[in-house]
Amino acid sequence: MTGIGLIFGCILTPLIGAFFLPLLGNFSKGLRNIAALLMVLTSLVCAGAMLPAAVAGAPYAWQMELPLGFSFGFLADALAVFMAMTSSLVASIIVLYSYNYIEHYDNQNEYYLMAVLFIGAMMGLVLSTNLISIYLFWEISAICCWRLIGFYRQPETIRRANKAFLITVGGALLMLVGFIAIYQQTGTFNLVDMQGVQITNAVMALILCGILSKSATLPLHSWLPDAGVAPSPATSLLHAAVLVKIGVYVFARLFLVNFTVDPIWNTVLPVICAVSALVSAGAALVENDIKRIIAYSTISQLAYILLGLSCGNKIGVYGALLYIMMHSIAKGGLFLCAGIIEHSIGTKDIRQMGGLARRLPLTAVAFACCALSVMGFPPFGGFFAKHLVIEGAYHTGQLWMAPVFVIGAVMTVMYLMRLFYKVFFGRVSHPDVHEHGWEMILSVSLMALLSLFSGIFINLPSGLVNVIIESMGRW
Amino acid sequence: MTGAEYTGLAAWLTAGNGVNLILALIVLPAILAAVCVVVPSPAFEVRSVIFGAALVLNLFFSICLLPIKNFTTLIPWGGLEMHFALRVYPLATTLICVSSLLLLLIGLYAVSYMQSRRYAAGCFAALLLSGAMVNGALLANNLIVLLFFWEGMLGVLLLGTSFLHTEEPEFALKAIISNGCADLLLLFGTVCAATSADSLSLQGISQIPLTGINWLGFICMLLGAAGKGGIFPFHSWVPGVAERADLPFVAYHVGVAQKVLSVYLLIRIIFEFYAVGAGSAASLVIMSIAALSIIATGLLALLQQTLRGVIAAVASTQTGLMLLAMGSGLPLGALGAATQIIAYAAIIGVLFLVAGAVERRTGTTDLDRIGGLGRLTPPVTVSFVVAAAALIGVPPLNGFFATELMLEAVWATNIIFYLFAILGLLLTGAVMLKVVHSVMFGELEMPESYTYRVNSIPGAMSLPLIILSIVCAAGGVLIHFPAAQLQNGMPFMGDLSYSGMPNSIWLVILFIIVLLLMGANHFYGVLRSGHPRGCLDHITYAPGLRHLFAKIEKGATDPYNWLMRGMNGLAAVCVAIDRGINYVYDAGIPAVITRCSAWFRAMSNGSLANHVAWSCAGLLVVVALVLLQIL
Repeated sequence: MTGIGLIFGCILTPLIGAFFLPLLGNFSKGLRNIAALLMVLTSLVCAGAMLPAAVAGAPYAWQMELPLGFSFGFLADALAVFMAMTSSLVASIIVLYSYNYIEHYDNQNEYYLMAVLFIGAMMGLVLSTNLISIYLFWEISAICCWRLIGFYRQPETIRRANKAFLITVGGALLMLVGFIAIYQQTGTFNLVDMQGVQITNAVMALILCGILSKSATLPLHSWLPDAGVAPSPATSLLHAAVLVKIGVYVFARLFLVNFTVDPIWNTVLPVICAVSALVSAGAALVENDIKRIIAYSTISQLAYILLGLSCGNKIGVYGALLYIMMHSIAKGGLFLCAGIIEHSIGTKDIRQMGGLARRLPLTAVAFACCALSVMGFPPFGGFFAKHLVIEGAYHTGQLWMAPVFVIGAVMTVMYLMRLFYKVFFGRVSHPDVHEHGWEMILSVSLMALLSLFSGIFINLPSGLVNVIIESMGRW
Repeated sequence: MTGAEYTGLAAWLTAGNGVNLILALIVLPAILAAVCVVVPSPAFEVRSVIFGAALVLNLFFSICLLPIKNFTTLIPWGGLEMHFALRVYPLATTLICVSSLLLLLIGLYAVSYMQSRRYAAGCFAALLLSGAMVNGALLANNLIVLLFFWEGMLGVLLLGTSFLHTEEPEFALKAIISNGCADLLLLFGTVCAATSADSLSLQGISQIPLTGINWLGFICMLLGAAGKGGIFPFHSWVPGVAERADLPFVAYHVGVAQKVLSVYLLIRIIFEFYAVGAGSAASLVIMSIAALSIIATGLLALLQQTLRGVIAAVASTQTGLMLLAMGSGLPLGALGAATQIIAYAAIIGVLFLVAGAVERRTGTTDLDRIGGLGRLTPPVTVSFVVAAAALIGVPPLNGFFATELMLEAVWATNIIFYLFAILGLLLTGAVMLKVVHSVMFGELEMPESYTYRVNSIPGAMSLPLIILSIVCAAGGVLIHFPAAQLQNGMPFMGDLSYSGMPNSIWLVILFIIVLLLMGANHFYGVLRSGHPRGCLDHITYAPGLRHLFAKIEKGATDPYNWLMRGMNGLAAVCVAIDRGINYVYDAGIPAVITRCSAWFRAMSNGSLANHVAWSCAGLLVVVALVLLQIL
């Protein structure tokens, strides 16, 4: 297959294929499920196939010129391929997990349609070289997110879905204004033609509204914990693999690869990140809803990613890129484990849980592995990412920064361990519970193993991250 | 030095850029740990054989390292200088051999101890993983590799304390959070050190001047390293884990492995990484932390109700003493601490194994329920007495010589801290005399159901005890062998020569007086209370001290509780901010929209006058914008 074929295979297979899933579902649920997984796997395989060219510095690209100076194009450079691979890998596991999880609910066709479309939008977004197409894919993902959060169609879930939609779309509209301002300045929406363009602080602020709303960073974060009402695989998709990573990806694409910004943002952004990391970690410490705790954790960890990206030095960016991958895997695993628990005992309240390690041993081990990775302990991948981000923060020369994030890391240890011990240890709360659904068990085990092996064989992801950093040409 | 310069197995280990070294000492134990878990439970013998083979191989490969004087290897790994760099040199190899020997003996004991227990596979795996992590951390020549193995111990602690003991999560949670905090402090400290030295290589970090931000890095690294050793403020989790986790795991992981790693890294931090001179401010800070630790852990030991808890607490007191010696900044202090950790490993090994034997014989280590066991288990009693005497520093046992070295270093630096060291030894001595006397001597006391159990301590449990007791007894005579080996591994020693005997006869006499005071205190306490178990009542119920001990018992002086309270306060503030933001989205913005909507509805009431007014206002805005554009 040619490079262009791979690009379109990566994007269009899930993007268009998703609409055939309801049709397939009407004939056979099994066929629909397999087709959904194959579509996401196709994206993963295509992204993997584009990797050698991206690493070699000759990325596949496709561009179509349109009237009035508009254009439409895709570029499979190292950063895009890295994101595409990470997202599609985690999404594949989540789709596999969904087989068991969703089979008891209505509207399964809609679920698979939205989940696969979501992945397609993500693939389109990361490979786009045009601000308008980025915006379009961004909004497609917002619509999918809206439907997935409101999947159960109860008044409360619909209210929360609306909240998520309004906040993220509101932010996106402000970002669109920023994109238009850039067009006024440069006369193009094509990112390839804007390398090194200096943007104003106002434009930066507008675009940041979109990024921070999608990446659930304070003060635009409150939709994320509320989105926990979605089915667990959808939550995992939103919080770990796709949605929240869109924001940090666009940040990296725009502000590390393309534009140059006022150095003041190297101070402002870490302050926002620090507040976001601490406030959300503090909230996680007192929450009793398992999914809300993990959601707050996502907000906190995203602050570390944004911190790394905004440090302005190689170590921080290196760490942040690794963090994106490690966090996707580990947090995806945590949400999936939470799904198994919720599915098994019918509650999300950790005060009603206890001793589940005896009843759900594999889930407990997988949860522990993923939690240790999020906490940043070896031999899991999160260790390298967290270490590098904190080192990057230290290298900025702003002495307050690294200690504050170490405090955040301490809080991460505390809330995740509190959660872990409340759920899995102590008096057995549900003696009749047992592990069931091999797809769900396999999925969480895969996430745990990926977390482990991504740490032991850190040379593999870090090799790719190194290529991305080199291609940025900044350091 | 390259691998080609060695012969035999040393050459094999160093061949191929040291890949065999990694395979033999790190990968092999880790893989065999996984195999132990995979082997089905009914095949206990098969699992035991695999476990035993792993332990023997580990010790064998460790001994093979001894001829290697200096070998470094570097394998590209994580980018940004995060190479998998290892270094084999005498300090590391000596400690690896000590750790491996203890692992073998404790492992042998564990095979018998765990036979009738649940989760034997988990315990075996935890022991082997601990061994692999210790080997990796001691061989690491890159800060990232060091942290990788060092912090990897947390996962093993999680396995050993939580998954194997699911009913009582609080003690394990405390252990994990305490260790996690210490590890994160170490992480920050390493970041500071690496930045200051502009190198991640351990050999590249040398004598960083203690100025400005380096102070913060130094303190964090120091506390992080000390945290593994159960030193203040990370000491309070140790007795809890020691009382509840499987004894072989406690004996090796908590009693030996963590302490060995802690002392090793502290030596490197104080004498290599940072410029800590004798009498410097840094020296004062270290010695103050050590003194605080000695007092805190010593008092904690007095309050322990179980044999396991007492041993864990006095083990922390010992690491406090070692830190005090290192804090002197004198090479003699480093040598004393390094020598003591070797002696200490054997002593603590014996003490924990004795606790296991007592538990096996009586079903408990609760000091109020057992007594006079000496006549039932003579080998255990002899081992217990020898190890306790060595821990206190009774000559000519191994603990005496190392303790004397440490005391000499502290005396030479600061007499006040010498008094703290003596106080620590007095507390340790008082507690050890109490437990030896009450558990092994006097009237027989044990739970009813265990009274008629005889021959319940099998040979596989007695043998490690006896071997380690012989090490404790004979180690004093042979102390200069490991001391010489350690000196080769510590280049900062310079031309310091150590003959194996104390340098100052006056300090020896002073120390013997202290030992006599311990004895006198014990007999006074026994006479006063009428029972060895109450021999410390005159201290714990002394006016003034009673309230202090009551506070300690309630956890008021526990730094872990302070941390939790502080974090709860911070969390309350964070939650208030978060709820405030949520309120804006959930109630504030909808309210504004509803008000605006109502206002617009009111403005658009079908009246012609209203419409004309709105149209005029709109027109004015458009004109204003056009004018602005033109001007």
